[in-house]
Amino acid sequence: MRKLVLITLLAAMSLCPELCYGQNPEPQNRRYKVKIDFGKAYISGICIKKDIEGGSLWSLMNEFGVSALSFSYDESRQKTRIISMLKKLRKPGVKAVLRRDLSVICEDLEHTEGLDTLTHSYVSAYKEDIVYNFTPLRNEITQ
Amino acid sequence: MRKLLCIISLSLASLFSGMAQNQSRIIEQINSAGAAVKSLECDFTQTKHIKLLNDKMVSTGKLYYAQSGSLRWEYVSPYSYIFILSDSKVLLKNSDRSDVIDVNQNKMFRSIAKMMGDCIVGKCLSDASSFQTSISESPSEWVATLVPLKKDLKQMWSKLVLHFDPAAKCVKVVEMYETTGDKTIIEMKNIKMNKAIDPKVFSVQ
Repeated sequence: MRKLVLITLLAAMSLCPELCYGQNPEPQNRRYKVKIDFGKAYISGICIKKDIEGGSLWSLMNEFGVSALSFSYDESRQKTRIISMLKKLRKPGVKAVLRRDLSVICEDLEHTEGLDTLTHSYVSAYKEDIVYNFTPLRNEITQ
Repeated sequence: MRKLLCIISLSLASLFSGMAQNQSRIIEQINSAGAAVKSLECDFTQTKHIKLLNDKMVSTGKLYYAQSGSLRWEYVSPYSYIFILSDSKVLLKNSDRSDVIDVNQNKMFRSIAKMMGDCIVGKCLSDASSFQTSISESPSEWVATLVPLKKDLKQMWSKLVLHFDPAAKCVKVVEMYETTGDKTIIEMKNIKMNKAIDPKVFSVQ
């Protein structure tokens, strides 16, 4: 019996080291498989979200690793600021539409985080032919 | 004083001429080895370093190349994504969609596709219209630094660094530095050369 208790304890310790040693592991950045459909064309790739004080930082890259977009989200103001953008995307109106749509998406994803692995689809509130798809990726696969 | 300056100039000239000769010799060796590559297949690990987030993203997959210029770049993790370049067509395939693009109508894809293929066999080292190339040599590797000269490549990358295995004279690591400060490192593993590849691998249908 004592042996069984010892084995159970060791197994629990290896599963939850932070409980045993009182340490919080470094929170992992959230990863999403992303597709932004512009009707005739689309961008696909991976988006990584890092929580920072008062909001989050996001970076979107295509499958080859080329950075397409990076932005920050201010939680209290529910506003997004574009930090950098692939030159190809810098077209009149695109930045403003992306900024406003991404504010809504960031706010929504904040509340659904960790709940499921389903794809979250959003139709642009400003241009109906733009559809955003965010599918959470499991961290253990990507790191 | 004039004599000293003359000696220094001559020494520098001979040093640079020696370096240029060395560079030409390495490029020649890589080119002749590349010309002998009829086909190539390997596994790859792609690590994207994101400066803004101080994080990295690792993807893995398989690469197939044929001398005709056909290329299959297949990601298996974190999710399946296939890029096939065959003749002037590019197939992009993910879990819910397949798109065939004519590279002649899409400048960005044309330059990415050409650069990927040329990097694999080292052809890009001699492409003086696209890159300014410098080469350094150590016993364990040859390192080529390529600075893009063309507008479409310059928009994406500040430089590319190719690491070659001097014994096999083939590329083993490609580092791509973006203008944003991010970088992507692609490591080739289990490289198999001149092994027959099923033509279906390059099918864009």
